[in-house]
Amino acid sequence: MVFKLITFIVFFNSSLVLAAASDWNKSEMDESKIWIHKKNSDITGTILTIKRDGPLNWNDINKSSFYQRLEESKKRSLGIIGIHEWKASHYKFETVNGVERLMIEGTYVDSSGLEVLFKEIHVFQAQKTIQLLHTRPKALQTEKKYEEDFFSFALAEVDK
Amino acid sequence: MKTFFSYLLITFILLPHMTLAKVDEFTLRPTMSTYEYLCQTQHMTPVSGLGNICNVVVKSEVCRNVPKKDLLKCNDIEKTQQLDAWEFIKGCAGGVFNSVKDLLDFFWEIMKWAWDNTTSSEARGKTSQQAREYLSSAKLYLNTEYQKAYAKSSPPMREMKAVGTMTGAMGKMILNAITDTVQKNYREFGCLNFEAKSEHICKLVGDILIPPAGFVAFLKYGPQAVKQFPNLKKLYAKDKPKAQATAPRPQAPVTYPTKAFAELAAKYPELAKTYEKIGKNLPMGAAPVTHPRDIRYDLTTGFRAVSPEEMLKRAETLEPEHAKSVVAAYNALNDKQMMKSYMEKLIAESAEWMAKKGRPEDIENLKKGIVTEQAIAVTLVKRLKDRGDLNFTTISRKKFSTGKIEFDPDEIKSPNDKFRAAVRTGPFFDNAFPVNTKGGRQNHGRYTHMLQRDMIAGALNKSTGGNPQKFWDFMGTKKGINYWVDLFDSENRNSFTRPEVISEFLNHNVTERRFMRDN
Repeated sequence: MVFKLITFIVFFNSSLVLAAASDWNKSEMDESKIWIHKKNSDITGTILTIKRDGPLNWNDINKSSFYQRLEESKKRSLGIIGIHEWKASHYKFETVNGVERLMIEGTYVDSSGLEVLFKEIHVFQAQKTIQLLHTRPKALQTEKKYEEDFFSFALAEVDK
Repeated sequence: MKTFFSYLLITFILLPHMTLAKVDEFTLRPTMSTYEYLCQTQHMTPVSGLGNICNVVVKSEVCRNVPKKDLLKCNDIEKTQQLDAWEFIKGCAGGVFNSVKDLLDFFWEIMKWAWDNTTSSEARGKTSQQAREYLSSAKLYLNTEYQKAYAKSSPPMREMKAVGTMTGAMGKMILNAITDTVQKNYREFGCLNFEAKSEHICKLVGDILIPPAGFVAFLKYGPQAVKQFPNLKKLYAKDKPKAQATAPRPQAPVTYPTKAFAELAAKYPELAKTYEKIGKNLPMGAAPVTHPRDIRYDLTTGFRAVSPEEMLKRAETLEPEHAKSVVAAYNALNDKQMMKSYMEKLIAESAEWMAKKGRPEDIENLKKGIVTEQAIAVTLVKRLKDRGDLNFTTISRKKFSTGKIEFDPDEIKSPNDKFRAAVRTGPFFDNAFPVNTKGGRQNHGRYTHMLQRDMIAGALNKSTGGNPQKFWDFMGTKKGINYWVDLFDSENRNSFTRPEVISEFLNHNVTERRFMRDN
């Protein structure tokens, strides 16, 4: 009985994940997988994997400086593709299951002039970093379900 | 960047009747740059109104050889001609951008260049692992935005339409980069009308953008691209407007810093030639920085005990007032225009001293167009004294003697202590590196650090709120002295932060050493 209950719970959760993913069109580019929501193409989710030779030693890295460099890199290069006013409202480092993660939230204006909300999560695994980005129009700020949907199946992929 | 901000300044202050929407960058930006050049070199009083600015440029010496059909028409200057930068570039580059993958790869190369060119050494090179983390996070956005645009586009040519939405900023950047490079090497470009400019730039676009990744090399070399790419130089020379067979326009007179020097220049033609050559042979300098973390510490490793990586860490904890002065000093010594103006005034003042001294050897040297080392040294010391910078010292390898200045013996425990004491005390004669007295034009020089002190005096006065000694007091501390090498003893062979570059410039172009042979 317990075995059947556990099986049901695992199946149910997997179904939820699959159901969430089916609301999105998926494509691949270079090392990225990109999902565009079927109902609104301004709602997106992207996963980018960066391989490394070895782990990042967080005992030696100043996290504040690391974040500042990350922020600078975006401010200096995103204008090239028409993204303006990229700014983070807050960021946070945390350890989840022994793995360091960085979360950044904020807004930017895309090349069509649309104001966009974004949330990035960087998962620093031993041999790779997985960067996840969710975006949606700022007008849908309160519609958190898109963000939750994307990260639910995206992080499930990450944690495999 | 400096030219672009000057252009904005001129636009908003001198052209108040113009709205930004009316100012077309492609047409006006090079003309504004030529106008700015004329204002600085001719010491003219600025005029207002776009038509008046145009007239100043078109009637100047710079535009003398431009064919009439290619010249700006100042009556029509306020009529704008809109240019879709990306469509222009695509048209000129032919089929180089027909593949979306190639185009996106090109975007990525440019984004990497933009980051690399404007980011501190720590992010660039401390660990390549961290650098990849920083850079890759921008790629998240490139791929996302493209897919978003693709989802909204419809056939035919859906992919190209998608990428077309992202090209506005890129197109403008490419056009401005090419235009700026052409403008810097070819002042007459600012004299040309829209059609002539378009024709010249279009011919260059294809060569620069094939292959597209070659454009990154073009961006890296900037104004040096003409020298670095022989094909570009050849093409460039081919495209230079040929003079029409008309009567030459009268030359505009060169403007000198003082009336006294103007009289000397008229009397001694060789001296006038020496003066006029100053701007042509100055080093390029380095890109301006906004914070000490942006200084290229990796360029100078020989004389500094602290590693570049450590310097970057320390730059982050520098007090804002000291950071501001370090930046001011660095930028002043690397500003080619500022150094040109400085050298012109120094040489003029030194020549006036020689004329006033009137010794036979001084007059002989003026006739030959030589401004002597002695004259420059005397002028320099006088300037420092007039400014109240009176505590001169001397340092050497064998003994760091500090002249007449007495130091607390408890304070001075080592040669490093003595050097720091000299730095914070006042101007010093540096005998630490032997001067090749048999000739030799490339040496450290006894008074090059004093020259540097004089060069940055104005910038330091501004950054310290009128108290430059605060900067020297800081430089003379264990913390501050770490910045000495990159500001005043660097290994950058293109910058006055390296004393040998100052010596080489003066000794090749101005002093009596230019007639000596190098050993």
